[in-house]
Amino acid sequence: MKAKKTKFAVIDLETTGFNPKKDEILSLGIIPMTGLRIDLGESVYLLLKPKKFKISSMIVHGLDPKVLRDAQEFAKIADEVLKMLEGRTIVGHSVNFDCKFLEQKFRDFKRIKLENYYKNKIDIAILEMVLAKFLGEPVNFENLTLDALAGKYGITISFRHNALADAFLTAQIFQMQLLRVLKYGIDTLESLISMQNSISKELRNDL
Amino acid sequence: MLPPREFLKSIKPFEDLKDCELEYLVKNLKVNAYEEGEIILRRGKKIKNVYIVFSGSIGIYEESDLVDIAKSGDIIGADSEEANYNAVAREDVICYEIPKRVFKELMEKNEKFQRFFESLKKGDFASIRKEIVILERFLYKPIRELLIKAPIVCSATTSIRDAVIKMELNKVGSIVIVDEKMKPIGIFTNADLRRFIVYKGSPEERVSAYMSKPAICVDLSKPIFEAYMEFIKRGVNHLVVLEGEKVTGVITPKDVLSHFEPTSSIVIQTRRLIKANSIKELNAIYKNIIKTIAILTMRGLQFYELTSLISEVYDTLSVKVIELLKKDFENKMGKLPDFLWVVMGSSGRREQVIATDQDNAIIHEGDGEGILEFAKMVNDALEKVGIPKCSGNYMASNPLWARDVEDWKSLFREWLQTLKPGSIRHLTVFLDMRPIFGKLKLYDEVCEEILNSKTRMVIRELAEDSVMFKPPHGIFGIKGRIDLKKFGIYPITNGVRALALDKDLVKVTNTRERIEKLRESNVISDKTANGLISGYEFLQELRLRLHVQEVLKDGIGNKNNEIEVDKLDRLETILLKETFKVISEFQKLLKMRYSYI
Repeated sequence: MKAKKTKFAVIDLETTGFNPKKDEILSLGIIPMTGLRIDLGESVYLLLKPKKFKISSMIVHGLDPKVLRDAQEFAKIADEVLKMLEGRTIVGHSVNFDCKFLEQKFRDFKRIKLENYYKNKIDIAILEMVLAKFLGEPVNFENLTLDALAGKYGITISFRHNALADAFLTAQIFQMQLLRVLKYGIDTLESLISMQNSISKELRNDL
Repeated sequence: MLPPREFLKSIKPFEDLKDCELEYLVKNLKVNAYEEGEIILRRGKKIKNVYIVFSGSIGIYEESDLVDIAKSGDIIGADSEEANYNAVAREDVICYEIPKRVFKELMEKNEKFQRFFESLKKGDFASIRKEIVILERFLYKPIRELLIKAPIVCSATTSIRDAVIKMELNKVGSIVIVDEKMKPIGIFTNADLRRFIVYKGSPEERVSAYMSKPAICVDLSKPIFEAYMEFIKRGVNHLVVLEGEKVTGVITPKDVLSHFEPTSSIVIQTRRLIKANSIKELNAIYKNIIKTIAILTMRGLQFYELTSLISEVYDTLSVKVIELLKKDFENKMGKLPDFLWVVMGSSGRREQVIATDQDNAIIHEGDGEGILEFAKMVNDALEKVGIPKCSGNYMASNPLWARDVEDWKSLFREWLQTLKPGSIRHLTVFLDMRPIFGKLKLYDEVCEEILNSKTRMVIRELAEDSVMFKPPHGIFGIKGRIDLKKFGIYPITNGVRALALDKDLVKVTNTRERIEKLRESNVISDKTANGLISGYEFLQELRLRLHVQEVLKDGIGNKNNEIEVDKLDRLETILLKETFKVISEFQKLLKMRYSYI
């Protein structure tokens, strides 16, 4: 499939911690993309009601516990999320982490295997490594954070740690990466994914 | 706030949107990317979106000609339903796209937003681009902000050698000579050092023997604008900054320049004006200054600051021309009698805007031999430099306005006492007289005569001039084209002049200063004074804007004083209405005071 026709869903989560089994999702931003176009108007931003509060991460995300008390439970928003992701390629920064979280929650609350609903995953950090490889640049992990990538692509960051703002930032970075990848003749989703997987494998070997 | 909102907020028409409108816009926004060479809009095809360039650049092609380039912040596709050009990405481009439907809804909801795009439609692209420049009120920052280094000082008894070593060690171009309380006595600069060398002084001599004094000082709490004016006025390179009476630093034009870019060129150019040696040189410099002033006006510099800036430039220019020609003339023709060059009218009031004519006269002593020829040379030269001649021939080369001081006195006596036809017209011009160059004593003598000869009758007549035209009022009155000068500016200047003469304020010529003085002496109330000052400023700014648009368009000022009410925004229409109300009140006050029926 042509990359320029592919339907993507750029996601970002804010969570109470790093363990999908114990920790909870606090907020979720999803922005659809069609090829190079970010459909900001169709994006969603959802706040979730956590069962237990971890004040420390509230401070990081700037989410007010008071606001969160009014937020929805995961079971109630699950259908909406599923609809947004269905049939799309999920894009994110460290997308595996976000996907694991979502998959776990879908299993727990809806008894659904989310992995059957979306098609592929693209991690913009790994995509950046693909690009670096093309250009013969050394890869430095410090340069792969969301902030560093935003800086590299000249996107001003005004409001971080809001799931929607971060998803938008991710979408913009992905958009520019796509523009570059297209210049190297990689214009199908399949070649994009296989390039990414080759890097992932190398990376796994390195580790 | 999401990043796209912030970006949109920074672009001219979108900053006018209310928060909820902006929210609505962002909700419908698409962010699209185009590869280099990709066609974004095709000639003859329907335009589905309004495109705001976020990064990269888009070429606008008519046939195969590149007619425009849209860059970050530029908007395309807003002006028509169908493209009459091709829009092509000249490099990878990212665009914010608003569906036409959403865009139209916003146009209907928000008047200001709509008006912006409508003037865009009329092809007023250049002027809007200029408006995008963010208003910077940089001139109001205090001088304190310019101070970086501690001042380099020495005492009056320090030797030249030690003073210069101190300057060299600190890499500065000046040293301030202070007393034991840090009060400045004088300043020793590189220029003084050159003088010292020319005079072959001894390095053991005291620095006080060669310093410039008094040092020109400014207070650190004053706005940078004032320091800037001092540099222009005095043509010096160093200003001593005081805190109370103590020296806290020295600033140079460079420090000021670093703070504002376009303004900087005025300082540099005015300096060049002072150093210029020929009329041709003056002309070139002056043209640049006028352009820069126009840009400053567009950036939102206000009337009172702007006119004092323009006055300073005009005065410097006039003095320069007179000095250049006087030297030349006297070398060839022998010494001219003592004289005083004065300016009248708006120049006299220090209220001239960019397109002001020459308004000048000469008061001389003795038989005035050669004066008329000299005046003609000055008038011609000023015209060549770029200040047009006065159509009413109120110029020093007109024998009517180049008179011996005794002659001037009797002329004023005649105007003030016999009230012949034309007296009032002449008085409205000549009561705003201000000396520019020459022997000030002559001005004092004429002012003395005016005070002695004024009559209640003439003041009453002068005031009547200001109540003659009633300003339009109400929604029916304020429409179409309105002559700002006739209905707004004249009634205020004329009325205020009459009251000023009544109160013996003959040497105060600036309208605002006259109003302030009249307020102090309780002739007008605080409320009226405030209303007149801000109303006057508002009218003048509207007028200035008309002039500036002309200057930016073709480089020459035009004297259009008619404003089209339709072109004003809502706020301005309200202000205009309020101003006319104040003027009506003021006219009532004059009628009461001078009891017209």
